[in-house]
Order: sequence, then C-alpha cells, then structure tokens
Amino acid sequence: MSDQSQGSPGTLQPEAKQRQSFLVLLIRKRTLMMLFLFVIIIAVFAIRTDGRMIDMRNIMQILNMMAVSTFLTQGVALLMISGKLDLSTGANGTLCGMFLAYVLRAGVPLIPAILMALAVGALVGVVNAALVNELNMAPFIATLATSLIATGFVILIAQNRIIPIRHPVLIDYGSYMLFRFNVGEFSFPGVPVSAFLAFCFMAIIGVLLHKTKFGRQTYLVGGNPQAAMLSGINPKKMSYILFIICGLFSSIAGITLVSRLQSANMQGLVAQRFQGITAAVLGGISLGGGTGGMAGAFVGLLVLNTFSNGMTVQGTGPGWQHIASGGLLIFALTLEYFQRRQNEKIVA
Amino acid sequence: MKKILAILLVLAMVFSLVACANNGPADDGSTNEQPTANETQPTDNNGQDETTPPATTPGGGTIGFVTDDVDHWAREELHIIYFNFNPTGITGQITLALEQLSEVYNFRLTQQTANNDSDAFINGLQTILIAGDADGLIVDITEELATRSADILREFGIPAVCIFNAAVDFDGNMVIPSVNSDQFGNGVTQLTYLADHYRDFWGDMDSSEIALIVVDHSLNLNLHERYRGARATFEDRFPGQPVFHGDTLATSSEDAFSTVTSLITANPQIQYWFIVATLEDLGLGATRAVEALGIEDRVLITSSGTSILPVQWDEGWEGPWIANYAVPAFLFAGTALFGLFAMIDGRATMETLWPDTFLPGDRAARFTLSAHMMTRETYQDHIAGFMRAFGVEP
Repeated sequence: MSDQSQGSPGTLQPEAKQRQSFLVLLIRKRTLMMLFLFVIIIAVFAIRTDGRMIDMRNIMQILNMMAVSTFLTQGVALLMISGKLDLSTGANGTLCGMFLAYVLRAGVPLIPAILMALAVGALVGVVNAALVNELNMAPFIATLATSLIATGFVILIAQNRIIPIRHPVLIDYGSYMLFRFNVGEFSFPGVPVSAFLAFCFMAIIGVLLHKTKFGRQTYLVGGNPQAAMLSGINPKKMSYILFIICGLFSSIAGITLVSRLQSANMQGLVAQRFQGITAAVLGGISLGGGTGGMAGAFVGLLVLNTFSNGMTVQGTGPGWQHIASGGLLIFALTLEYFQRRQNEKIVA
Repeated sequence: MKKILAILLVLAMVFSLVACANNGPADDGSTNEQPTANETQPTDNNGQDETTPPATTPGGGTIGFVTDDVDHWAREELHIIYFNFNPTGITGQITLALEQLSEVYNFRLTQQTANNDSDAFINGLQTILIAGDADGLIVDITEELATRSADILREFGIPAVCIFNAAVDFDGNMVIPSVNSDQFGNGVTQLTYLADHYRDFWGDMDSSEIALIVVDHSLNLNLHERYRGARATFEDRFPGQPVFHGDTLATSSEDAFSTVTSLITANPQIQYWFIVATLEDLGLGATRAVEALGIEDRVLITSSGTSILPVQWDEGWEGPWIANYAVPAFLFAGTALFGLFAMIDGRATMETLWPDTFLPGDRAARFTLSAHMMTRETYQDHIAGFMRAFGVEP
C-alpha cells in the first residue's frame, strides 16, 4: 500500500488515485471493511440460495441468532478495549441462567430472582477483577480458573438434571416478536424482543464509550496505562467496574438463553465462550486494548452470524463450516496486520 | 504488493464462500434405474421390536417401517436434513448410513450440526425451517431442547424424528416422534452377558472374587441410566460384592484410562473385574488401561456401540474387550427414515405413527429399539444383517 512503491502520488491518474484511496480507506477503517465483507457475504449467499438468504423472515432470524452473543460481546469488548480479557463469560452466563432457574423453582418471585442472578454475574466479575488486580494474575489464566469454578457450581446446582423455565414473562422474553404486522400481502415477522434489548444495550454502551468521561478513561487505560495513571485515572477501579459490567452482561446472556430454551442445562453458553472475543476482534477491537468500539463489534457479530446463517441455509456440512469460519477469522486478523502497518506509516 | 494481497484476500474469501457448496448428491437423471424399496427390502423384520405396530397399507405393508409398500422412485426426490446437536463418531455413522439409504430410497441428504451449542441448535433449526427447503428432519437432541424444538417444528409444520434420545418435555411426555434405545436395558444386557459368560474365559473360579467397575459420565443422563442398569443387575447377580462407579469428567478415552487405572491399582485385593463402559470411547480407554496394567486375563470388558470395537476386530485385535451392546447406526437411521417418509406423505401423523408404542400423555410417537450383544464371532453378520434389512448391500 506504500505510495513510494507505486511512485509519486502526483504521477497517478485521478481514477487510479480514487481506487487507491478506496482500498486504503477499506484497510484503515476496519468497520467499513467488515461492512464491505458483510455485503459480499449477503450477495454471495443470496445468489447461492436463490434469494432465500434475503427473505425477510431469514433476516430477522439473523437478528434473533445475535441476541445472546450480542450480550456476551459487549461485556468482553469493553474489557478488551481496556486491555483485559475475560474467558469466563460463557461459564458465568451458564451459572447465572442455572441459578435463575433454580431460585424460580424454589418459589422466589421473578424480579428478585433476576436480581439475584445478576448479582451472581457481578460477583464473578468482582472475583475476576480481584484475581487480576490484587494477585496480579494474567486475565487469561484468572478468568479460565473462574470459568472452571463456575462450571463446577453449575453441575452442583443442576445435580445432573435440566431445570425447566415455566414463567410466562421469561418465555415471552425468549420468543416474543416486537413490531409484527401484516399489510396486505406483506408480512413483517417482527424483531425478537431479546435481540431488540441486546441492540439497545449495545447502542447505550457505544454512546457511553464515545461521549462520556468513562469511555475516554476506558480507552486511555487500554491504550496507554502509564499515561492513564499519570492523568489521575485509577486503573484498578476501572478494572473492577469493567469486570463487573462484563459479569452483568454475561448474566443477561445466560438469562436470555434459558428464556429461549425454556430450560437451564449444564451445557449452557460454554460453547459460545469465544464468540464474543471473535466478534470483537473481527470488528476491530485489538487484543492489546485501546482501539475499536461497539459499532465495530456489532458489525463483527453481524458478519459472524450472517456467515453462519448463510452456510446453514445453503446446507453446508460441518467440515466446510469450520474451515470457512477459521478462514474468516484469519482474513480479519490479516486485515488487522495491514491496518497496523498502514497506521505505522502514517505515524512515521 | 500489499494492495494485490488485500485484493487476493477478498477474492479468496469470496471464493471460499462459493466453494462451500452443498455436497448432497446431484440429480443425475438415473433415478428410474434405481431399485424400489419393495425390490430391495428383505422379507424379515430384522432388528426391529417384536411389537411391530399393526398399521398396514392396502398392500399389506406396515406404515412407518421398512416393510411399508411405497414406491419411493415414483415420487419427487425428498430433501432430508440430519441436524445433530454434537458431531461424534456415532453421528458420523448415522450420516454414512443415511447417505447409503438415500441411494435406495430417493432422497437428498444434508447434514448440519450445532457443535454442542444449545442456542446454535435452536437458531439453526429456525434457520433451516425458514429456508423452507427441507421435506423432513432427523434430529438428535436431549430433553433440554425438546420442548422448544417441538414448538418450533409445530409452528412450521415440518415433520421430524428424533434419534438416540427420547424427545420428551419436562413432564416426560414425548413431543417429537423419537427412535431411541432402552438405556437402562443397555446396562442390564451388558452385565447379563458378562454374568452369563465369565466362566467361558475364567473357568472354574470363585465368583465371589469378582468386582464391577462401571465407567460412566454421569453428566450425560442417558449414559448414567446405563450405569444404573448394569449396577442393579450386578447387585442382583452378585449380591454384596464391590461395585465401583468410575465417573469421568468427559467422555474421552483418556478419562476412562486414568479412572480405570486408579480404581484397579487402588484395589489390589480384587482378583477379577467386570468392566462395563457406557460408551465405546470409554471402553477403549478402559481396555488400554487394563493392557497397560498387564491384567488382561483377569478382566472382562463390554461396552455399547458399533464404531470402535468392530474396527479393532477387523484389524485382528484380541483382548479383554469381549462384546458390545450393539444398536447399529442403520437401525436408528432406517427406522427414523421410514417414520419420516410416512409423515411426509401424510399417511401418518406424529401421533399415529407407530401406534402400538404410543403411551398415555404422549403427543408424539415413540419407538424404543432393543438390541443384543455382538461378539468377535457375530459382529460382521450382525451389522450386515441390519444393512440388508434396509435394502443396502454391505
């Protein structure tokens, strides 16, 4: 992408300059690149599935698929921006969902039961933060350990049984479609309430990150911890807050999952523990911290879920699904490499 | 150079999307040359339950079974999706069986998996049904997914049959037609085989010297039922003798290896061991543990499945793993398939399919497969018999 390698920019034709600037823009703006990729994915699958991919019901299904992972992603994305990582989100969410089902079955009313489940999620966040800040453990190891402990508690609570969820409010939360309507021949299938809530939360967190002091401090802690300390920010306090927020979002993801399944099981969200991190990385949030945002994470989720949905609609077997998903991640990480190189050139 | 690389990456991504094509068999126009079900099916009902339902067709066939007298090549090719919760060795065998059956019974097969993710299963099921491309589904799910899956299937009106497990709601009532095996009976049959045959291997010895290890993964409720069946039978046949519950953290051979090694070395006073492994992977680990300890002549092992042990026998292996409770993949796949055919063409509903095994409170049919033990001497005929029963030449 170097101008020097192509000769002087002044010697390029205007059309060539325009083409070059579009490519540079795509590489520099990760979100834009992922949106571009999203459009390509939609177009390819739409052709391959005779338009079934872009059927309105299927598009709403993609949003439906994103609900649980959106909750998981926002918490972990915030932490990643601050330079930390949480591998316990899946197990934490599973524990909170199981705990909610357990206390509901024990006769606790819905609102206190939800608050208790959220408190469990926050508590796991506090433990994670304490291990990282007080014992100086690497977040990767500390959260892996709490993940195992949370899974153990899930097994103890469940006692090898599935706990059904019968509360009508939770069942509606898991399956109700908002804004459903029919006008003549046209039928709008509606937006899943859980997905709507997840996107609202994501928008709020996005605004908080970009428009508030809290957001600026999060970026500074992640991008330059020394500068953050010198400017009076308490990184430890920030870390506690962010781990607790991440725990709360894991808890909401767990509650959403059990509402959708109408039961709590031991498997829960364990299989999704890396999806939040993957979506965040795809969307431009660096594992090193200090970069990216919720818009990028959202586009990352959109790409992941659209890709997965497209392969299912197309009938792609599991072998190819794994290969293609791995390829997608390598593609995104390669983009990050080009982006970093480009930024280094600009700085130089 | 980097520009070119960037463009190549985009192109590679597009190409990989295009390359992820459906690998289902293409319509080669040769369908009329295929044999009909009636021409290929055997006259006996090998492997099916003795209580075959009496629902018959005018031609005398049994609806929902391989003996159903339907000409599958006189209708349009069906699209059947096999959607499994977690890809394993046995789901691979089911896929293979369905692929072979697709050539005999005129359907196109697509395999999908949720990779052990409950949310992905529900999402995938909705996506498949919204796509509207499937005539019927074969799913393998457990209780936690049954109620929600049944709601979704009802909404879309696409017939489905669950295999391996009974798709029951939280009150224990069947909500999706299911072909499952008797899990408690599995354990009973394994232990009964050991109790009936140990003298063939150990001769005239003191039977009070025998102890039992059941290698179980209790987080899986179906496997745990097998443990319960084996334990109850051992306690009945050898009252007061020691039973060890080898509960593993996962269903891997490594877990079974370390569990069995620990239990045997911790109990040197025990002279003879029965080992019942609730899953073949666990059976493999248990066998390797016994071989590592060098006590093959004092241990007899059985397990459940037709994936691993037959391969070992094919390679000439002999050892303490003497038999398996065997429900071949063809039996699961074929039984589910014929139930599905009957529902797709409207000759049965989820309530009327397999009527003799319909239980009070159920909202869908159930069919519990029973099987017997296969040994080194019988395994080839055992597996081939089920293939022939469904019209496939081994």
